[in-house]
Amino acid sequence: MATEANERLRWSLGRVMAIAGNTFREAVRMKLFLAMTALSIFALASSFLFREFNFGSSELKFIADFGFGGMTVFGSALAIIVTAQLFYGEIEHRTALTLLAKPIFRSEFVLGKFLGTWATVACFLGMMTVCLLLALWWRETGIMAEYPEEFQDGRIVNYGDIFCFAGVQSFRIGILCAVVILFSTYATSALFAMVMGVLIWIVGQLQHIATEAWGAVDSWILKGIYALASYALPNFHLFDVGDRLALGESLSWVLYAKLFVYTLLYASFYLAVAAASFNRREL
Amino acid sequence: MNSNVSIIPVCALAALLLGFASSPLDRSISEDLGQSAEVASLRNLGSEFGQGLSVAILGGYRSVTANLVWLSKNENWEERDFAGTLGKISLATSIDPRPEMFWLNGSRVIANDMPAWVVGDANTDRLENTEEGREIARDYANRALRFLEASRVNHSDNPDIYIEESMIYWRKLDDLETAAERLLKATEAKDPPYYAFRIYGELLSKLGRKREALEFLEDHYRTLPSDSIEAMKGVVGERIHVLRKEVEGG
Repeated sequence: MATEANERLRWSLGRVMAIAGNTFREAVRMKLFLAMTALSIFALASSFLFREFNFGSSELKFIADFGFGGMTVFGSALAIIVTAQLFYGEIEHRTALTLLAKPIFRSEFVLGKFLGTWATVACFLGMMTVCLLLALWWRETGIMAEYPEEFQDGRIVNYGDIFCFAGVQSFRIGILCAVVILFSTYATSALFAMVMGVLIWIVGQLQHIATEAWGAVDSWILKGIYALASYALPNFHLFDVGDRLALGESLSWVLYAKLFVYTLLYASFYLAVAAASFNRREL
Repeated sequence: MNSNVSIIPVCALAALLLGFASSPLDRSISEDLGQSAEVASLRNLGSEFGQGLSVAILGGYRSVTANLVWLSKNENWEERDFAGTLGKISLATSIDPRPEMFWLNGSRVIANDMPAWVVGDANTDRLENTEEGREIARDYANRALRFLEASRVNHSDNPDIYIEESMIYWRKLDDLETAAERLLKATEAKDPPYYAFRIYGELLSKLGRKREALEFLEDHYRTLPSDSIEAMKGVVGERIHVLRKEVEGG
């Protein structure tokens, strides 16, 4: 009977969205989410204190750097912790069993959890974007009043680029969420999934150095290790577009499209493997 | 073996294949963003892994961290700690190589302050009057030039870096030919300051190439705006007048 029911059961986007919605609601109620958001907003606000120590770049660029840093660092940390807590937490507390006893595919569960956590971090990025926009607008207005001759052509901050940066960071964090979900399907503790997430984040950030080093070393063993690091993991450094945007350069839509395709490739791959692994996992 | 562990080798292989397949896309994005310069910057600076990690991980917090490192360098500078000062200058420029201030001030500390630390404040005249002192000054001047050379990755078209190099060649190494060559590069770089043209003309004159200096300043004079204080059109005009007399008289 059960086999017959499963055969009739069709993969449903509605169930995925229901799981995603629940995950999102659960995540935004977490104290950790609120604490991390408050901390990153505080970090952004502190850029106004640090601006006296800024030697190398303009004040507005300094504030933008601070905001971009908050989005990247706190966003990635949030993605790792929330994903591991919410995915592995379901397994650890046996609530996954209750849910999966219903007619739900495990792949739907995996995708729903992914979308829920991704939406949570996107929400965080959205709030940070608004705060950064306000901070830059406020400061630029102040500087404009102080030095009107420098702003004869109007405002110098391209506010649209801040949305672009937040979008690109959401791509990066999407891959990171998928990686943590994959490790959560194997993990025997949430801590393991988090540690693996942090390691992949660091190695992914340094991947471009491994690619360079690969061509520079003679030892075949080292070449093998560098090749493994270069090919087996996503290159998170590609999403570091803040340097260019903070310098006032606008990036082409082709580049954004390429980053989106890159994200789609890696996130889909990790989610497919996570679904395959979770299907085989004994709960 | 857990049943989900058994798929790990297949997944690892698939991950490698995906990485291989997506590498052209990876390279294309990296080229669009000009990220190869960053790896070159790390290589040029001979960075240790820890510094590379800072650059890679800190992301947007680069400016802040670099500024704080620069601030803490001042403490080493006050204590005349050679290793600490050099290390922090190098670390600040490694974390954030974009601000030219780190490069210019860093090179000044190396070329001007450090030789004085070696001989002591009371003996700075030895840096000019004794062979041993001159050797010390030359050594630190060359270190400063090597330091500035590393800035090229991010400041290949920055006239201020070329002017700084020129001043070191001129004042510290007494090499006017190379100083003139660097100043010429400064005048050809992006948005060169007016004074770079004037000093270049002066250096050519010092080198005995008065006709070349005259022609250079005449060309420069034609491009100068009359309403700019920095352009000093009158001063350049007077210099041209004197040089013309010297050239015609000689």
